[in-house]
Amino acid sequence: MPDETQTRAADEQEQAPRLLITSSPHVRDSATVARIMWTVAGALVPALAWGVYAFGPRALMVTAIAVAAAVAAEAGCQALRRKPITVRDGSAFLTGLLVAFVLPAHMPWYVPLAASVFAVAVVKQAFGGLGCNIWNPALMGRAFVLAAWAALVASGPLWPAPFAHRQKAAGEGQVSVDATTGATPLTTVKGGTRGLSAGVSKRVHEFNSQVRLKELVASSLSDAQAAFEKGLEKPLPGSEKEVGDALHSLQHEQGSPWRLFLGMKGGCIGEVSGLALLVGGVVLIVLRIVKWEVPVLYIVTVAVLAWAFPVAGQSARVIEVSQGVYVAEATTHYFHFADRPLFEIFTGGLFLGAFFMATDMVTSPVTRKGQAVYAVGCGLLTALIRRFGGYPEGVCYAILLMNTATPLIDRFTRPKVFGKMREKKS
Amino acid sequence: MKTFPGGIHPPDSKDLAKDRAIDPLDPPRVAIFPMSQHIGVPCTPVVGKKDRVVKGQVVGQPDPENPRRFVSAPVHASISGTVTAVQPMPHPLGKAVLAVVVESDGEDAWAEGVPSPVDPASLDAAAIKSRIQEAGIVGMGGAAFPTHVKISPPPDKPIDTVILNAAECEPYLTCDYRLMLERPDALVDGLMLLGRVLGAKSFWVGVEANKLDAAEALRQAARETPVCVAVCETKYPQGAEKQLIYALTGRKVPAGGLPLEVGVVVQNVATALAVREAVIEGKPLIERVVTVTGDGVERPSNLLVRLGTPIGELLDAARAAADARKVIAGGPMMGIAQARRDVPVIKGTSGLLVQKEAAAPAWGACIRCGRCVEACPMNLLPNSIGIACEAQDIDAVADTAILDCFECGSCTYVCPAKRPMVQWVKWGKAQLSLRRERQKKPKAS
Repeated sequence: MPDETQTRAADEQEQAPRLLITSSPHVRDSATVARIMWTVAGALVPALAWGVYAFGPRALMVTAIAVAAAVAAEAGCQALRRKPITVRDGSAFLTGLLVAFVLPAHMPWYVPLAASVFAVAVVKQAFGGLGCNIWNPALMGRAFVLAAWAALVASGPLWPAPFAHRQKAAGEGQVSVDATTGATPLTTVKGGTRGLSAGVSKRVHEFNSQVRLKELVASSLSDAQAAFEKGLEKPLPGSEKEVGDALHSLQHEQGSPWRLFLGMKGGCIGEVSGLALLVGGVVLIVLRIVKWEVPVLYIVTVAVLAWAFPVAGQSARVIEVSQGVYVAEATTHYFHFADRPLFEIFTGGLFLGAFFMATDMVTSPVTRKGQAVYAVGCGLLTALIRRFGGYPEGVCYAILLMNTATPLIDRFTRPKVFGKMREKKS
Repeated sequence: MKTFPGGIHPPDSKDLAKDRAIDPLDPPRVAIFPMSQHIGVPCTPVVGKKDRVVKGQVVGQPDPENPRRFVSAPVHASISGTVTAVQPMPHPLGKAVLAVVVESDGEDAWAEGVPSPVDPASLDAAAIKSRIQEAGIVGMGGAAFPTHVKISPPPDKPIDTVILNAAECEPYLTCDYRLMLERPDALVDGLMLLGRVLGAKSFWVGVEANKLDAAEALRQAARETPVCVAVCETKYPQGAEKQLIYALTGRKVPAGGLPLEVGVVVQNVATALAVREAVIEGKPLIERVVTVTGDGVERPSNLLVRLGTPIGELLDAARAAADARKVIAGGPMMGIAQARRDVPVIKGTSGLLVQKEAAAPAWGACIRCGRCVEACPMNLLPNSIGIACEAQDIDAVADTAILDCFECGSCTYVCPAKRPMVQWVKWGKAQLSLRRERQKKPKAS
């Protein structure tokens, strides 16, 4: 025993002045993976707060289950793989948080649990853990839920409208139809145009007939067009009040773009408030954790496509009924033209997807150029799925598909080596 | 402001030593002169044990039998005394290198005919070049490439531009800064002499924006000359040769090529001073300015040091903490950690950085954040290079542009997962050259 102590003391003495040898560089930036992950989690707090405010304590419970399951799954997998347990780096916590964010608040407890375990154990750890997964774990968790509990997700009542819990709690008699059927704006749009939701569809029909803005006799085409354009902004007297009422009730039902942006709408826990997500997203851009290109190009692509290709049912025309006599007719299902892109970007999971999912470093391209291609691809696919796909929302699958394309994008957007003239033939 | 794409902004930490005037350090009692202090053919000792040597005497010459002896530089004694050993000795690069060890006689006597001042106007280009070669001058910014080779371009590659690299982009180091403040005229002289050898028409000085007073001093010194002093963004690695050339002239040195391919020669501040001393004063390269700094020294200094002085003497002069964790020869970005205090100062030793605390951080998996890609001044994909090297997959390493990496360390600096990319790159390059040798052998036999 004394020998051992002596040896150790001698060792320590010898080691104290010993100089450390490492490769250069000998200074490092203070950024760490853990700090990045926890910062992103922190940037999600406003959206979570809004989710809990809008959907009640139930949202907090779903989130807690998802986070706990994700962290437990990470630790469990790492223990099984005999790897160091790295749950403190915040990566599993963040995945759990994002899983909850893409689920409606009224999911039964086992849904967030299963989604998180699938996301972490199968999508992330089975592929090698942090940095090795091909797809965004949280979105795969959502895709898993969509596939496993399709009926639960598709059926209206489980999509709580915001503040429904408050109205119920207050015992108000006049709960609006929406508050109980609780469709999200995007499902309503799809329902309306496809006749899936009878009630909404009927109102759309009424609205259309009311919005036949002008039937004026004009002496020239330009007069008719001018009147028509004016009429688009403001319906003519006579029908003005009716149209106004219809428009108001519909906009109230769907929310004006700004109400949508603030989060006065139905949806998943973390996706409803564009404002809260924007605040978090801007923080990440300022802290240089997220590059602005991905969210901005993604959202702009969706907006431009919405503007360039108005949905079916939005139409406007000037008809010549007889020689020199024109009738201007506008038919619009829901929105003023100018609102359409705003509606598209403020609804569904676009802000959450653009700022927090598409920007996931592991599953997105590594160069700025690649990220630009990827972001525009996400926007295209989102618009395509929303317009033509079987689901009302396209953000989840759009990002997952672009995740799949990431290695390919990386390959074709390799930066040109400084001073490289032409690819060498070898 | 002039700059290059990529790069990083580490804290420059130059405040520690920037106001310390250059202070001559006493000649050492024992000096060690490694026969290899440069890129190229090592020297052969031309003195033996017990020989008396004097200051400025050649102790090592490139082997006259070696066909590549041109790419080399002689080594001179920096003190007078007696040779006590000619044997492998510790070297800042980590390996033991054959060295001449001289014990001082305290007289500090010059060799006969040294220094030999001349009127530079009387010298032609060839004479200037041979005085530079005889003085043993190499690039003193760290790369240590023999200067006379750099100013001997092949006839089909005319040089029209000479750049004085005064960026000093390595954090902490201030030796070049002090020279710019204290010897601006000498630096301009050195630059003009190099330009005369090369027949250059345009002369640039590239200074980082954190040294505006130094830029002004040079501007004053260069009033009567065609030298243009340009301020570049304070960004690491602004002083990397290719990046500085691009920032100042907009020319891109071809990947894998030399600056002379775009008609440019770049010389560092300390080198320009050595050129001036060698050509005008006839002094061989026997001393240099070394910054001793870092949180592990009590008195950060810029010391004028005889080459061959053990670094321990510099550390003592700067009152380095006895329990300092790390001593780095060079700057924090590209310097080499030293294992012992008896390695000598060599021609390329620009600084000693002493860190009180240092740790080799544990690294994690790459999260593909892309910071290394943004930081890389060569537009490489350090993430892929690192992953290929970590997996020890030589085929994958060969698929990357690893050979274009000059190990500036920007990627490793920014990496949030603390991945040691530079270490892997060194390993990968070594493995690739091993493989190339192995592939050559069967063909030859």
